[in-house]
Amino acid sequence: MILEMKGIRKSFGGLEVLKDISMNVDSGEVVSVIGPSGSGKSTLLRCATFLEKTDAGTISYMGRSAVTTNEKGEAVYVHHAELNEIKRYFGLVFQQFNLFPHYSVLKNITDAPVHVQKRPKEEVHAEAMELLRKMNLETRADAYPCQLSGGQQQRVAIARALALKPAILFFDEPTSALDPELTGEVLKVIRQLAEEKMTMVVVTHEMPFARAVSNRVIFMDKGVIVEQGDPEEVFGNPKQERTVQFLRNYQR
Amino acid sequence: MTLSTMLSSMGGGMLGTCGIFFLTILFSMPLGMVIMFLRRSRFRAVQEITKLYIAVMRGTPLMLQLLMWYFGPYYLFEMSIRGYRFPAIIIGFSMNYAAYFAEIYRGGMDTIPKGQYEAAEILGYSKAQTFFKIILPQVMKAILPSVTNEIITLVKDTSLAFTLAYNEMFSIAKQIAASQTSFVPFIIAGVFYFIANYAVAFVMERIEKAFDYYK
Amino acid sequence: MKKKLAFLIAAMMTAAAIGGCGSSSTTDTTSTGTDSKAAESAAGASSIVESVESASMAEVIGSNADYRFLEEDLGVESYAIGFRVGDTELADLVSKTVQALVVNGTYEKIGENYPDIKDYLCLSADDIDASALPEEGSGDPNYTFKHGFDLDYPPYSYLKDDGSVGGFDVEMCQAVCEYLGWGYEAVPFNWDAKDMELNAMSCDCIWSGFTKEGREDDYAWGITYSNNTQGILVAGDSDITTLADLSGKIVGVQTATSAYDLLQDSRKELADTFAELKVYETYTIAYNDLKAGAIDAIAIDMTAGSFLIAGDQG
Repeated sequence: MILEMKGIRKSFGGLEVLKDISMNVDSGEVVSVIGPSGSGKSTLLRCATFLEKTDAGTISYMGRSAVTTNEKGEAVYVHHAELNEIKRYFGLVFQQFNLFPHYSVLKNITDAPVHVQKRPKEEVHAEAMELLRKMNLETRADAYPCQLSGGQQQRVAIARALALKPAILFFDEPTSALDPELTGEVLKVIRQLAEEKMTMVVVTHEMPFARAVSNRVIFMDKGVIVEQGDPEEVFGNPKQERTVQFLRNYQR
Repeated sequence: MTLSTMLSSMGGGMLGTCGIFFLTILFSMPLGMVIMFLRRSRFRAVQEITKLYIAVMRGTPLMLQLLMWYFGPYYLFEMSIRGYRFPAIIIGFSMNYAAYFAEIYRGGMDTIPKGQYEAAEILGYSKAQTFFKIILPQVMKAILPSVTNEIITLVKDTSLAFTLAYNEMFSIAKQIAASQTSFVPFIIAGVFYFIANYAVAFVMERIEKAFDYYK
Repeated sequence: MKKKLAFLIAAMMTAAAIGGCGSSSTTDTTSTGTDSKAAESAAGASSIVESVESASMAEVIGSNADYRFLEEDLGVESYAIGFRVGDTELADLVSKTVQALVVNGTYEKIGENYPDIKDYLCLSADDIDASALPEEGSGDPNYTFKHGFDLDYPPYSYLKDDGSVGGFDVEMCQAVCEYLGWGYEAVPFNWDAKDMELNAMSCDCIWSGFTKEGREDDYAWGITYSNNTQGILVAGDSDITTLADLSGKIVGVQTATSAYDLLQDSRKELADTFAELKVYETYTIAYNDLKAGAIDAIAIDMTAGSFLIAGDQG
């Protein structure tokens, strides 16, 4: 088991956004999280990646516990050093890419492996070029993010995340900030990663993509998981009324 | 008095002016960084004290501040202020300009999207690495025009040192103008300020160009 | 504690007063005067007076507020009316009219309004040949005489709070115009700009406690109507008693005053014996430095110096 989340609760100023959510991700699994906006799916991802602090529940990666719950039911994070170790298990691709504008494409990818993971420069460099080839961007290594299209930037962001060799990769609506004609190239890369058995959790609005690529689909609404299962089951034969409604609205 | 004697007496003043200028830049720019961090401190009390400091520094005339820094030790603690004139001027200028720089830095920090911090956090950068490698270079690019403005203001503000009887260039120009009933020293002073500010603008433009490789 | 608070308030008021001499902007560097005269000193002194009155600074300063002038002075200066070089005819007519006003008593009467300078008015009817004076009303009634003066040089010339002009020189000049039947126009300016104003013809004369010594050739000079003595001010407990004792000491002076010019010119030898001649923008700051012991003496004219001491002990 790569990721185990249990009993996650999160409120923003009295508004409960996550209500007792549990989610496990196995090695090689591709999980799509769908749902209307405001359903809490992005918050779930941010809690999983520690960008938000969960109020309650437990989180562990690769069997190492990052968050536990004390007797009062409050979430307790492990100490700093251990948390930093655990952070190395996952990567995150943002909706807005968040590339570093003052670094070239290559430096965006190599800087963290070299200066955070302290790996040899030559090795990291070679791997980065390999990643760029995979992203079909090997000619743009020296370009700056501002010179790239949104689709290209997002592919660089994926390469940057992969360069740290995470065990699991999260995607937070990776195509929502893109023009429709550019979403294809990004989805193609994710699909390719899925074929290589990369463990991934993708929050997305791309229903056909979710249906085609994932092993499991989670439908969230109003802070709870309404329904989850095999994509063909969820999309083809939804059990819950809310799921039916959401998918119907989406198709219109 | 010939033009060359005028120039040579004003030359000593120009050195004084440059001394104030460079020392103020040297101390106020890093100090502004410290103040900016205090201003953004998570402790409310530190934040409020820093805010008050900035309000006082920006809200009162620099001339008054120079008087306080110089005469304060005497009136408040009855300390001897002999020979303390130049240090007081540098302290006064640096503390004042640091407040302005702190606000400029803070404005620059606010232009950096939250996503930059989050990306750095996810990639495992430490707090220091995030600031120095990711945030600071972008802040510098964002604040360069405001910093240029502030530096040019400083060049002209150096004449306030005369408040504490420090004979920088402009005060000497005034003295010569009065004793010679001549307008020429003012023209020389004007040319000096113009050249100094032109040099500042030139250097800053170069630096801005160096940051131009990305948007 | 009260003492410290008083300092803060007094310093603030002083700075405000200094700033107020010209425009109030902090970046304005030309706000205070730049010429040899006691005007600035008087202005500086008056700001101290204000501070004392409004912030009870007397308590602060009173601790060692015992000051005296050395018996030896630095010299006497004369205040005269300056005209553009070549304007000798006008200078002559105005000077003669001033004499006429001395003879008919107007000069003395206006002097009564300004007790601070009364003793320094140096014209007397006994010395004047009453036969060669212009007739009352003999001037061109269509002519308007433009009187250029420092807008902040009490008691000779100044802008009052309500914006009107006043001062001994202003009243005298108005009396001259009235006597001749001329129109009178006040041209108050910043002292730094006096030569530009005169040369640009925006005024016909500089008549504002204007010192003649050292600039004899720069103007066509009218009559000398007042004088003043330059002296050395020291702390009461100072061991300095003669000019020779100033050797190796730090002496303060305000820029562009007569005292400053004297020490740069005719008394340069004396100035060369000082450890340092510290030049101030205003006497107010020099006086504070003297009190704090940062300097040993101040070169200043007697009127302004008396103002400083009186304001301090007031």
